Amino acid sequence: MTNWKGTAFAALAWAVLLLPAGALAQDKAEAETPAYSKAGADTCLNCHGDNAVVMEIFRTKHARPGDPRTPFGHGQLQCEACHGPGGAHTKRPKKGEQRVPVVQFGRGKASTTAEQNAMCLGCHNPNLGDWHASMHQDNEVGCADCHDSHAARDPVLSKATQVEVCRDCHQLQVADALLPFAHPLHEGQLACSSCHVPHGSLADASLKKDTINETCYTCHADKRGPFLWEHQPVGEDCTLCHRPHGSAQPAMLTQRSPFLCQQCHQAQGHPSVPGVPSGLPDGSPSVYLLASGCANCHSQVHGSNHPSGARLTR
Amino acid sequence: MTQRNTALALAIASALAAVPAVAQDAAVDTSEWKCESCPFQTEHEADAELGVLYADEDSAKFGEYNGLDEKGAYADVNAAGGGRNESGTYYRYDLTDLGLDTREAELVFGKEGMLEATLRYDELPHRVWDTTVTPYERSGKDTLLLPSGWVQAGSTTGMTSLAGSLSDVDVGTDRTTLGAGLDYLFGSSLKLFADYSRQEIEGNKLSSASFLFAALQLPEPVDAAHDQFELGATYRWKGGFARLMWYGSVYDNSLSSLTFDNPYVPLATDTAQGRKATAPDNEAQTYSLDGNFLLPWWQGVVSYRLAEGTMDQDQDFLPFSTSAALSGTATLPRSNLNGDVSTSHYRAALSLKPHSRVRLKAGYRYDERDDGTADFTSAYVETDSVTASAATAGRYGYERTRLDGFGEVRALDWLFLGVGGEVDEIDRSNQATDETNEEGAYLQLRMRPWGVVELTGRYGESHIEAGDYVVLPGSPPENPLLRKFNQTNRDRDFADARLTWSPGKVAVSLEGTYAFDAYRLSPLGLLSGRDYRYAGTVSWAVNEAASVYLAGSYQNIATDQAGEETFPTSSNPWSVQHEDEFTTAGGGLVWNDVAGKVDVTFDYTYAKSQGAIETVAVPASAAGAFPDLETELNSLRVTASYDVNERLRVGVAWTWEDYDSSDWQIAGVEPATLPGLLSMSPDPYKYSVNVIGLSFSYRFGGAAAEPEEAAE
Repeated sequence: MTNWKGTAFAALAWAVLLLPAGALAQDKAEAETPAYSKAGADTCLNCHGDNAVVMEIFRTKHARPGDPRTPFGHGQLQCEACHGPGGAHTKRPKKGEQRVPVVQFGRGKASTTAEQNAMCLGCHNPNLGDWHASMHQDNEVGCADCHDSHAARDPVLSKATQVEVCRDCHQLQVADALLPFAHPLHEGQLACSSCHVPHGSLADASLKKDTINETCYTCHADKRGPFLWEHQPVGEDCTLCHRPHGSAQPAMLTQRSPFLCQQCHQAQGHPSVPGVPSGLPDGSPSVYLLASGCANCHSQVHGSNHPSGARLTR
Repeated sequence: MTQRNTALALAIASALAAVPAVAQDAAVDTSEWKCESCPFQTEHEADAELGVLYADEDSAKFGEYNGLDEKGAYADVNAAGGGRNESGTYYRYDLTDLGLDTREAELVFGKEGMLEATLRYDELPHRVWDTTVTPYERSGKDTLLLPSGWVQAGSTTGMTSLAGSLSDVDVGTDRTTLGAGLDYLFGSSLKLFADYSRQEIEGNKLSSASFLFAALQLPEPVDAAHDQFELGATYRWKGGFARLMWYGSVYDNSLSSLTFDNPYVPLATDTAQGRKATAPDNEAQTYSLDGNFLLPWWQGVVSYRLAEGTMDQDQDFLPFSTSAALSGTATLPRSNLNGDVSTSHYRAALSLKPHSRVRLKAGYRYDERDDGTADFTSAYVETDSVTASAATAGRYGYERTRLDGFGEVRALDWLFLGVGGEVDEIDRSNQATDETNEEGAYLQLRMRPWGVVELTGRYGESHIEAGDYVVLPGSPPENPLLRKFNQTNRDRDFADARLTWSPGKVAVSLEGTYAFDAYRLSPLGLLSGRDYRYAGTVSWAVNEAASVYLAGSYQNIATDQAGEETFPTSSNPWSVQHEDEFTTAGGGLVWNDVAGKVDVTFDYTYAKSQGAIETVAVPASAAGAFPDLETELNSLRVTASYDVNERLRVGVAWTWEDYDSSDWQIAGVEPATLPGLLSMSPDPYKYSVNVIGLSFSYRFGGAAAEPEEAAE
């Protein structure tokens, strides 16, 4: 393999990182520092204290007085840690004018997604890992599009309800889970985040582990091996044969045996015999076609550790 | 580590050291912010639910993952609560489905700003078949025996004692997960974390085995445990974070083999039983360093990850055969595989916004799977039936390097134009093609012509160029015209689009994707694949208490493949066309606070899959179209709850689910239908199940439930 890609990348990294910051700095307007409220949350709750949804924040991790990292931690900015300085907002608007807004969260709000996310990322950057490299960031998904930070039990953090949140955008993937053979997303027994990192990762499809296979092994470690007799695609990429979001074929296969196997194997003899309808039970039933097809004999398709398992039969 | 990766690591490490500390925000005087009106939790609060469910029919498929697979009553017990005192000590618990096979529990407790500990327990059933039969009986933990008086025969038709020997056997597993985690904070910058989980999987699976050309299906026992460990530290600062972590995984299978009686007339003496290996014990671990740092210009962020790992396996080998005569004097080259695979993963990503209208991204990914296991060559015994000449176990590894980039310009306030691409190079060892190179590019368009409408579209192509395809020697030989689809040239077109429209209380979301693959140099094997799908959802928030939605989707997957029955002297070519269609539709209603007391939900889901397979072959009389593979699901769920008072709620629920399927691969395959396969005879899934439920919920402590209000 040539070395040009690595060299190019390293050069790019050095160039970007070592360029004088001053030469690249954008002009920044001297913004007037907005004022905070006089009494913090006590000011806010004068008006919003009757709102049950607002008050639920006090049953969440954000409202932990003993944790200085949280908005309600000692010396922190309380409501204004997330909603921004509220000094102007607390002032009575002049007749005919709107009240000065604070940062509002959620779709369709006056605050842009970037403004909303900037408030969250101010504290959560370390928890969000590779957010800046994620598809969600690319598509300007707002934190509040998925999270309900005022809810005592944020639906997206619950295995049972997360899929309903993800479905708002990922209709196709969630529909796949209704296929006859699928992981138990609709049953609430598995969450999208069981495999994916919604805040982004540097792996394919924002997976939790470095590769597809290593993600699958967290539950299917029996497929990991290494085996004495390996089946080459198994160690390379589970999705060469499986559709992890669901399939109409047993075991979430991309196609059922023998057809799937014959996409790569047509050795002389029975492997090259076509599957035909005359092999059904009302004709001349074929052991190469019915039941598990090739796997009727070659049952160890993920690999065999038997010294006589060369053909993945033992 | 290669020179390339050393350079990458050096670049990242140097940059980390060079990032200046970012100044803290100007201090705000919060000394007078007493938060006296803040109702922090100071007592135990909980919601508990006690009820009963009743299912009116047995069905493994309906209960596949919900555990309601048998007709009868089930306890419905749930509780969630927590408490906190003024010193900042807190606890929280979630107890779910305690009366079901899906029960789970989580307990979290800690001290604010210092530590948090978690204990977890989770049960996951996987019911697969309840229509299967077998003549085998389990003896001990790893042996399946046929009943006394079993009549061996050359084929199933001659097994005269078969019908009288069959017993029902359910197929499925139960997975129990136990876990514990601990986060410990040193100030606000350093966190140590540890996590442990143990999965225990027990039950059985429908497996198979063979004695040369005669096969059998059997209920293979499953009894294994998987322990996983994480240990690490995260350090955060204003300009980024770094995380150092170790991950360990130990898979322990209590069954090293499965021994089973031979139902057929043995092909050799001393082969009354066969034995297959089960998944071997194995271990894996990974050391990693990852994190990011925020660049002081262009809103830049660099993310990185360096990971090195191993996968090991040294399970003792089984003998060549159950037959001492067939094993003869052959000796194993070594007592176990001493399998040793090392893995490397290096990644970096750069995100920049050099201008308010421009953003750029670049990524680098390197993955290596290096199988350092020593060669293994030996003669062996084929399926405990005949001796076979020496074979060599191939060791497979790969190196994969990817570079990707993306740039987007906000050409107009409502128009974003983007372009991206990726180069993907895979080097494989011991394969027909040493190297594949994929290059792809795409154009992306995002439009927000009005505030309530967003349209995103993307179109791209990618091309894989493979090196010379040299069929590996084997016996019998592989057809030299066949190309394995992951190692050959491929042209791909792809496109996707999404439209969202949110005018007021109505929200519309439409999306679609399309991909077409052509394996242009493959005379045989997979020739092409096409996948298109679309979906849409319309939702309407009628008012603050009521909302409705309608949703639907359609997917169509088609593939063409070709083969050749004999070669090289004659052809008898054949081809197969597959087409799978999948349609879903559904709708629902949520109506809360009806008359101030009642909440109602309604959900209906429809899903239908249809698979068509047609073979063109020689002789033509044997070919043709298979019967369609079909499944159809109708699911309806209605719930209602009534607030008896501010703390007590009574709820009722009704679920009706109807499922019908046809599958020619298993339909009509009775235990003796195939002369060469003793089948367990699973039937295509079919059920119609009603589940009704009655429950009482009570809120302890805290504020009593009040009508919901929308947050501002």
